[in-house]
Amino acid sequence: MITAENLSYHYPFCDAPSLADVSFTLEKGEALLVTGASGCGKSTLLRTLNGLIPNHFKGKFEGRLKVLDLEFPAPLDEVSAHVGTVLQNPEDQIMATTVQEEVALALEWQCVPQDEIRRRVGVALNSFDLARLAGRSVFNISSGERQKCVLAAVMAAGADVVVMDEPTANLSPEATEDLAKLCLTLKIHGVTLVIVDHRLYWLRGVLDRLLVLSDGKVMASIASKGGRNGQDVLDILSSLPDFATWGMRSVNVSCPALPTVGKAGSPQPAVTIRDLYFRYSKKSEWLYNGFSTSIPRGAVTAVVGANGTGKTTLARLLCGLLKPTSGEIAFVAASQADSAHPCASDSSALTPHQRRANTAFVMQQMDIQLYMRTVEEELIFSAPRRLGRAARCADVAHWLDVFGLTHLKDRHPHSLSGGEKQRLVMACALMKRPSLLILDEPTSGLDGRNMRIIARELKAYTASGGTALLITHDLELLSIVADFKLEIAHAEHPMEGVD
Amino acid sequence: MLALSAKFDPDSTVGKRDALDIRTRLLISLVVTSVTLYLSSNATLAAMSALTFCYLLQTRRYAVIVAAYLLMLLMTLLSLGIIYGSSRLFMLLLPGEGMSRMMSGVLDNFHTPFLRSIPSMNVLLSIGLNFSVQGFVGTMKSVRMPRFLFIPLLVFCRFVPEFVDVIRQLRDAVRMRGFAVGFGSAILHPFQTIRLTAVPLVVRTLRMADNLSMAAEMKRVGYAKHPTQLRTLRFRHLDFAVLAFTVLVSAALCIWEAHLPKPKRMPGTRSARSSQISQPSGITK
Repeated sequence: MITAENLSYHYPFCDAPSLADVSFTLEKGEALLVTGASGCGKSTLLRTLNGLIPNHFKGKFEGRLKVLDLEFPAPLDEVSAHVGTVLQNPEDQIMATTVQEEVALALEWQCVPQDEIRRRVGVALNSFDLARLAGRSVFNISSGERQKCVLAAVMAAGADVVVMDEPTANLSPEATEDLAKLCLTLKIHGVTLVIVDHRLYWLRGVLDRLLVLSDGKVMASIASKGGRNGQDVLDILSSLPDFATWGMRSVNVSCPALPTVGKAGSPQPAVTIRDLYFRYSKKSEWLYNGFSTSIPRGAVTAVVGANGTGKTTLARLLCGLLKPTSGEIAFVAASQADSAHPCASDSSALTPHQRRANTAFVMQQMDIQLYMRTVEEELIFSAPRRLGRAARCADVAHWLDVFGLTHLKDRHPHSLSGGEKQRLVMACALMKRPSLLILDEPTSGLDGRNMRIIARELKAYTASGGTALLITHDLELLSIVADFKLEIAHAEHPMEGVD
Repeated sequence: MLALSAKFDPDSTVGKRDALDIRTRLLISLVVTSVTLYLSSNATLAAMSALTFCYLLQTRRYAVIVAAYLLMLLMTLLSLGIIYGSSRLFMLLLPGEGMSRMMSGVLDNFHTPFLRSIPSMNVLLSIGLNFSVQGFVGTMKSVRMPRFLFIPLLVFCRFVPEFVDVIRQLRDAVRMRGFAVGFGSAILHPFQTIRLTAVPLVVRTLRMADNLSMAAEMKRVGYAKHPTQLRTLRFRHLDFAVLAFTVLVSAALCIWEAHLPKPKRMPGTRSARSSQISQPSGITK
């Protein structure tokens, strides 16, 4: 189905090749995982397979690549007729304005008859539990739901080969499990899968082959058919002597059993929420309907729940970016002796402005959180204005060192890689010395090395008395750092954490 | 997991269904903007503005409508301020009756372009608030638009709501840094405001536009000559009725305009001079 021989690619204006002598074969109905640390060339390989290289990205393309009967380079429309693509960021891929239109769009341009389009759209929507959102605007659904929408569109299009770039980055563990099952079903139907992902655990039992890349070169190529005693390719990977040096994630991750917040034995609360009611407009459904809970001080509380239940909305309410319809959000003041991150105000009932001053919020979208000309300036800009120049400089040097950004301090923030940007945004948040730190999917798209750096600093922050709220579907991160869980369900169902 | 069969009726979904066909809305926009160019009197322009405003109200997006009108008012006041200030300056630097008459003429006719832009804003906003890629694709299909025009247009239309969403996220991110971005900050701290908005917006929008173009091509948008539709576009009785009403009202306004006395031309303007030349001597005012 796919044959790659000595595939090399050089982006324009780059010193080193992004792919160098990559060779592999993939049969019909097989699944290949391409993994490796950030910047290893995974996404570049994916772009060659879906025809974006060299049709969209110019550069030096060498070697032989054949997909079905198509010899590459081939025109993009011919490649797209057989190869479906799921990009990492769903916002960048959705062309339509409603869920059903998005799922149908590619089929319309394949000139599929209307009845067949309706049948396929129905199947795809049901497969991803999107039927209830069919007519909903793509702007009024969560990131995870958008990701499912993109996946449904690719499945409906009926491609022979499906390439996915970090498909689970925004998916809940349940949706990830469903995706794994769907991959198996697609394989049975003869669809060939190429998956680029840092998260490995969900692909157990799905994969037939695995490529580990580093600096564009193949470091390891593992096939299950030739594997030892029918071992899963992930187990073979983890047994390799160099596995620990590649900066990858664990191959075995299980959902951690975390205590629920508000139960007996929880530490003193840092934030209390009482009778919270919130909805975006009078016509929309309640997202929070009499919600009450408390967030323990000096601990990492994981906010978990299905896609679209309002986790990010809760973060925006806590930060003072949204105003509750009714109810109270109170920050419980801590003494200097108890914490290195005291609430700046003694009053527990803070105004939204005071809440913003006491909170740091690391959002999902990195680009909109970076403004300055250099990494160093970005950190200085994040420091509280009450600090003196000497204290600011000391803090900047400290966080640059802690996050391994010292050698990048004169670089433009937007020229950094995804992992470096994520570390910088986290450092900016900590520069603010917040009493509450909220992180929204801080490790989506991060390799194991960067994920562990974020986890380490989050632990250090709570150890010094800070309170952290972590919104994530990343089970590996949860198992490393989370102390408590706050489970959010749809408002019509009872919620845990309710007093 | 994967359902073997499923019934799906796009017309039964919760999504908003526009009462009018997108082609009707495009035709209405074309007629209204063309007629508005011909109209020049306050009465006919005000009538056209009122009628198109009623048409816009049908979208029921009152918050957006109020915001658009406030923006229009702000632009009007800003222009008025600049024209008034510059006219005072000219009269100070170049004193004389001619200059004074010309500047007062400019101020007298100042409102006309703004009155003209209101009907256009109403009909275009109505399209924007009812935009559906489905309808857009159908319309472009029916007019056989070439791919090199179609893809940029589709990306642009998809880009606008995404851009609005990015601005909301950016506003939140800046507020979390302890700054506010708005009209006040743009006046008080212009450089800081530009830095806080321009840099992330430019980076994000360039990336978005690039990715959306790639996504459109990967879905083969624009490659097929006769794409099919999830939902068939149909002209209904309401479309014909609304189009007929638009044409009739536009014709009536044009006739009204033709029968109204012509407004006085500004002295010194090209049209005033040409009318003076064309008229026999002794009749000129």
